[in-house]
Parts: sequence; C-alpha cells; structure tokens
Amino acid sequence: MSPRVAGPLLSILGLSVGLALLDASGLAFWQGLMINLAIFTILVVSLNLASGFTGVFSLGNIGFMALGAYISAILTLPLAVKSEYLPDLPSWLAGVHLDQVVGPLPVGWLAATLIAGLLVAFVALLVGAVLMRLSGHFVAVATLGFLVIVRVILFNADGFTRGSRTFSNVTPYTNLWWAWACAVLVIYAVWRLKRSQYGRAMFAQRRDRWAAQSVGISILRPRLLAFVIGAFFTAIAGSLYAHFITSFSPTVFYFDLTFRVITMLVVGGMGSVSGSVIGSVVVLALAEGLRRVEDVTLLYGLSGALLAAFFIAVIVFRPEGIMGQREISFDRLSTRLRSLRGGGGPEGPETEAP
Amino acid sequence: MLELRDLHVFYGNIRAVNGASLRVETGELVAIIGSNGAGKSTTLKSISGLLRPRSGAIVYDGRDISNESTDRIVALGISHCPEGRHIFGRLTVRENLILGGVQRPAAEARRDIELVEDTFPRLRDRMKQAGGTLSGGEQQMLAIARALMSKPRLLLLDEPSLGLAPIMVEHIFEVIEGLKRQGLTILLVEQNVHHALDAADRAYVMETGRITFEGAADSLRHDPRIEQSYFGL
Amino acid sequence: MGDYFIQQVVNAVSAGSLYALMAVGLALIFSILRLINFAHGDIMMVAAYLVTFALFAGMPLPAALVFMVVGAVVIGLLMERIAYRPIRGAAEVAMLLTSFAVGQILQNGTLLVSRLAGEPVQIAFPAPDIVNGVVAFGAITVPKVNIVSLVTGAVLLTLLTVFVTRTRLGLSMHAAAEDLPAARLMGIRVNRVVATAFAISSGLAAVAGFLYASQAGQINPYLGFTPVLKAFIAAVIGGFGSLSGAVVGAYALGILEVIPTALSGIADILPPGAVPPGVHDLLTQVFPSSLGSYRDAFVFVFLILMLLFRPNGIVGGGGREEVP
Repeated sequence: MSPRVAGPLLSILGLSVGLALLDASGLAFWQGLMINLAIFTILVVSLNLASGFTGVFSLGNIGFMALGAYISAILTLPLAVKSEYLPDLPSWLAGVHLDQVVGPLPVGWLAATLIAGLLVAFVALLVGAVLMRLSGHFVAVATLGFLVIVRVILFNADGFTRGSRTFSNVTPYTNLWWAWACAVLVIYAVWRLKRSQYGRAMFAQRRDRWAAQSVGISILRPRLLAFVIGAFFTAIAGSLYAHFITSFSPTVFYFDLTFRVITMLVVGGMGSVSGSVIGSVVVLALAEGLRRVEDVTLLYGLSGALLAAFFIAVIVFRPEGIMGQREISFDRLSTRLRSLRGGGGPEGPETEAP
Repeated sequence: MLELRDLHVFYGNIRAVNGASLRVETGELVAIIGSNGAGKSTTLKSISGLLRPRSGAIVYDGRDISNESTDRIVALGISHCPEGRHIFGRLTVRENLILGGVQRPAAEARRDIELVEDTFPRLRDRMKQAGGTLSGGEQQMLAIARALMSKPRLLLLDEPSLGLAPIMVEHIFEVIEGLKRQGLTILLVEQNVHHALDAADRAYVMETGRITFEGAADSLRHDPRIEQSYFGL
Repeated sequence: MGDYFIQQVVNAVSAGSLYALMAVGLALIFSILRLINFAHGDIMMVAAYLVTFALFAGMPLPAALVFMVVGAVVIGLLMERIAYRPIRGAAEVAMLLTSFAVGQILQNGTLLVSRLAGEPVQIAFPAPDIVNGVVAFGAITVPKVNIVSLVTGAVLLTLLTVFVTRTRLGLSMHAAAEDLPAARLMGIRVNRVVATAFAISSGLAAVAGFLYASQAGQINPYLGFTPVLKAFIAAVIGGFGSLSGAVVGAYALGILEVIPTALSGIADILPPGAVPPGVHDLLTQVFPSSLGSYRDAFVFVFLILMLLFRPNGIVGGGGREEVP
C-alpha cells in the first residue's frame, strides 16, 4: 500500500484506538475536551476553506454556526418538551420532532443536522452572492455585519429561540464518535477539494485577482462555492455543539468565539488543511492551559489577553502560520522515516506545496 | 559633494541598480540619461532614502547616508523632486509649499514662499487653488518650488519635462539653468537627452542598472554611440 | 405629535455627535495607514473605566476627565508602537485582525484590573451631575447627556478642523494620507504623524467613551464593540478616510438609527380618530413595536448595501500612488 493511502488510514486507525481508550476510561474532562477539539477543528477547517483558500476574509462564520445549532435543536426537540418550551412555534414546525433513534443510530438528529446544514448553505448562498463581490477588509466588516444581524434576529425571534433566555433541554446526541466522524469527514472533504480543480480556482483568484479576471476566470464562483460549503460544515459543527453542550443562548455565538477560531486558523496557516488541525490543537491546548492558570490564580482575563498577544506575535513574526499553505505529506514522511532507518531515499521536508 | 560607490538596489528580488558609481561636485549640474527602466529613478530614490540599497555606499559631504531616514536626508540638505510631480492635489498651492518647508522654522519658511513666488510668477495667482487643478506645467513648477522650500544644497530632479508641451519644457529648463546659476548643485534624471546635455556640465549614461558612459556633456553630445542610441541618427 | 418628532431628532443628533467623535478617529487612522482600527472601541471602553476609577478614588471631575484623556492617549500610543508599527504596510486583513487582537487584550486586561480592584464585571457608571438627568424645554424633555454630547461634539470637531487645516502637523497628516512617499520626500516624519493621529483619535474616543457610558448608565469590558462598528458604518457612509465625510456619515447614521424606532411608535402617538381605524391597524402591522429592537440589524443591512453600491464613496480617501 502506498504511503499516500496508508498514512491517512493509519492516522484514522490511531485516532479510533485513542478514542476507544478515552471512551472506556471514563475521564469526562478529557472526553469533553476532545469533543470540543473536534468541533473547533470543523470550524477552523471550514473557515479555512471559506477564507484561507480564497483570501476573502469572512468573520460571519459563527453566525452560520449559531443558525445550525438553533435549527437542529428546534427540529430534534421531543414533542412533549416542545409544546411546553416553545409554545409560540408556528404549527408547521410545532409538530416536527426529529428524535427518532434506530438501534444505535439517532437518525432523527442526523437528518436534522443535514437539514440544518442545507438550510444554512442556502442562507450562505444568498448572503454570499451579495458579499463575495467585496474584497479586502470590507468583506471582513460586511460579514461581521452579518454576524451582528444573526445575533439580533436570534435575540428577537423569541418564538423560535426563546430570545435572550437560555435554550436548554437539547438532547445530548453528540459523543466522541459522532464528533470525530464528522471532523474526519470534513477534513477529508476539504483536503480533497483543495486538490480539485475547484480548489485550484479558489487559490488562483486569491493569488492574482486581476489576472484571474483578465483571463476570464470568474472570481465570484470559486469564492461563493467555498463560502457555501464552508457554511454547510460550520452549521454541522453548530449542531454538534448544540447537542453536546445541550443549553446555550445567542451570546455564545459572537465575537469571542469568532476570534478564537480565527486565531486557530492563522496560527495553523491560512490555506493548509493540516495546518488548521494543528492550529486547533495548539490553540485549544494553550487556551485550556491558560484557563487552568486563571482558575488557580483567579486572574480572570489573563488567558484572553495572553492568547491575543500570542496571536499578534504570530502575525508579526510568522504571518504564514505554522504550515503556510503546505500540507503534511505522508509520502515524504515515510521516505524520511525510511531514510532515518538507513533505507536511503532522498531527504526532504515532510511537507509539499499545494 | 555626493558620491555613489558600487550601489546595488533591489525591488524584492528584482535587481534595479547593479553596481552604479557616480560623483556630483558642488555647483555642478550632472545629468543621468538612459532609457526607461535603466535604474535612474531608483538611483535617486536610494539617495533620498525612499529605498534602501542592498549594498554600496552613498557618501554625501564625506559621510555615508545610505541608512539614514528620508527626513534626516532632507535635513542634511538633499531635496528630491519626484517623477510624476506628486503634488498633494487636495491641498492648495500654498499648503504644498508650506509642506515643502516643513522642517524649517515656520516664519522663515513663510518668507521663502514669497521668494518662490518671484521665481515662479505663474504660481503667485494660484496660491489658494487646489494643487490638483493646476495644469501639468504649473504642477511641475510647483513640484520644483516645493522641493526648493527645504533650502536644499543638492536638488534631485526626476524627469521634470515628462509629459509637458514643448514650450513648457523650454521654460522648465530655463528655470533649472537659473537655479544652477544661483549656485545650486543639481542631479538631473531626464529622458529628453537634448535638453539634458545642453544644460548639464557632465553626464552619465545608465543602462540596465549600470553606468555605461560618463563624461563632459559636450563630449557626450558628440559621441557617436550616444548619438546613435539617443538621438536616433 | 410635533414633540414626538423633535424628540426623535434630538436623539438622532446626539447619537450622531457620539458617532462622529468615534468615526473621525477611525477615518484619521485609516486615511494614513489603511488600517481599520477595531480596537478604537476598546480605547473608548478603557477610557470609561479610567474615569470611573478616578471618580471612585475621589478625584474631582475635571481632574478625572484629564486623567481619562491622558490615559487613553498613552494607551493609544502604546498600541501603535507595539502592535501596529511592526505590521505597517502588511496586508489589510492582517492589520484588521491585529486590531481585533489588540481589542481582546484591552478587554481582557480591563477585566483583569477591574477584578483585581474588586469590582464586578458590570459597574454602574458614576455619571456626574452635568450629564445626569433631563432638561425640560416646554413639553419636551431632553436628557442632559444628549445636550452635552452635542456641544462637546461640535467643539471638538471644530478644534480638529482647525488643527488639520491650519497647522503644519495637521497638513502633514493630510499629506501622509494623500501620498505617503511624497510626504516622506518633504521631510515629514511619518512616525510622528502616525503617532499624532493615534493620540488624537484616542483622545476623541475617550471623550466618546465618557459620553457613551453616561448614556448607558453602566460599563463593562465589552461595551466598545457595537460603537466601533457603528463608527465604521458612519465612516463608510461618508466615504472612508475623509474626516468631513465621517462627520456627515455619523449624523446620517444617527438619523438612520431612529427611523425604525420612530416608525414603530408612530401608530401609538397618532391622536385617536386622526386616521381611520383601518389605517391605524395597518401602521401597527407594518411597523410593529418590536421594530426598534431590530435597529442594529437594520443599520448593518444598510452598511452592506453601502459597501456594495457606493464603492467609490468607500474608497474616497484613496488616491495613494507610489513614487514611480
């Protein structure tokens, strides 16, 4: 088997074994952390697709996550809870309860997640068709405007979201396995996309917008495609989050979370899928570590300030992040391993250009 | 007064000046001629500190200024009148002139605006007009006037005749020769070889980042190789 | 009914003054550096904390205000020196993200200090008498803070105009914004110009922070986020980078913002019998009382429309060329 196939398979096998051990261990804190990592990884990889690949910086992705979370939560609420909890739902929605479970499969939730993803992708199509025409920092600010609009709507659509009150009673479907299955699928999909002609078009218009335009490559189409697919995955992360945390309010889905995801993306490297995974791990580990320090020293605010300082340091000293646009390559990795074992073979970095 | 020694300047990875050396003595008018992209403007920008040379020395009054900031270089008495004039179009003519003398005491600079008005009578009636509304020739005069406001001892002039009507070109060169007569040292970059060699004491020819000829302006004017390349004979 | 509209206009204009104080600072920095400084709102927040702690410590109001402005200016200068100077000229988005990070540092730093001082996250703002309470003009009552905002805005913006058009440093700022390389050739010290721009914009943000906190009645480390977005919208409306444009945009935004609120109340303030019941019901339907709470969504939709359809207005501060 070539390393190109064996590498990823081995990684997934390793991940599965790790998850199984963690699952059996009963260490609730670490299980929760790993679920969080999976959700962050999806968010970062999706943002990378929407922003890193295309260079069109979107700050509105957490708005898509919020919509995904609320849609899936509302759809899966059991009837009994629903009538009491959201009495003002319109009748067509009040009767929907995607809480069916077949054997070990929560099919209702999976369907709800898919519906949430598709609905959000549709919203992204409408929003993106308008906003992807902008560029530079103006697109960033306009998408930030979208985030604010989503928040205002969530706060005001009481009948659907309970407004500023906490939305709880969400069924806890998300577990280690579902979270990581989604994460692996998203990583795989985005990684494949990067290598496809669509991915190349995304990078091409990023590198040279004017040249792309002058040879007739549409700059809107690849941007929009990236934006919509990114929104779809982000909504799935939202659903995973909703059914993991089980109670939330609109305040969660705002700027702090947006900034956390951006930090992970920039640290990992805009344009690199493996970089996004690495960035998520590094920043989440750092944030958790600093949070511990905060809890012990009671210096609340310290972790946020230090993380932001770290972010500035990355932008100043290593603006391309850890990976730049490169990817981890299992081919080169195995060549290097073999050469380390004395098997010869050309020496090279374990990365490859996109 | 000024000496460039083996100057190398890059734009990113593109080599723009490749080992140029030249001298300007006090009171001289020295011209650099050569085709587009030969590195003439880049040379001037390195002297005024807009660009940092990769290697080589820029010696002015016996000291290397190649790592000084532009504002220090202006303070040392070098003024650079850039190609394309770069008038502040939304500021008035007077405000442009005030900025030209921004490093000098305000009262002194204000007095000098009147002197400039004498040299450039056409600007006098336009003092309150926005710089962007002037004609090309007037803008060029304003650019030179503005460069003089810092009381330079060495004036770097980049393509002062570019895009001007012939009559205006004549006028600009009269002004330049007048400045020389007043004792100002001038390093002139110019594509109009005829006029440049007429006005200059000495000249350098620059090609692809190197100095290929140098000599007295008179001798260059009659050099067959120069005639061939630049007079199209 | 006339009173109702006068009331709304007063609200609009005083909100406009606040936005103008903010937007001018944003536009000033943007015009020179092409940096959208989102930490601007956090300077405003920090200033509100500075004046609060100064008043808590028993400082008299004038001293507390001076302390606030000086403190905000110092923080503004530090932020420029430490975070923005190293990335000057970097990609627009990198600068924008850095300003977000600076904002996060200011927010978390404030949280930290405020906690250490034993204060809760949300503090009641000790608004002094001059901005506390209302003034009655006949049938209409106007909060004092609105009048103070209006007057302060007018005075400070006039001073700024004089500075920018009448002093050499002000002209240098203008020159640096219009053509940076040419400005350098004049011998203008760009670092000094940039530092001055940050000092001015932070000082104005500090005053805006005081007024904003007086209006809101309480402060928390996150209060700067919405105002800076609004200031950005104001600057965009006016053609980003232009100071006078930012002021015009700010007042336009003030007016724009009260429209949904004004409309949502329109059915209620009509005297009974003034319109047929059908029309009254229609008005309530079209402009429900909840319309006001969608105000922010409304202005951001407007922002997006502006960005799309007035791109020339947006790059109004442009015209930056390299010296060839």
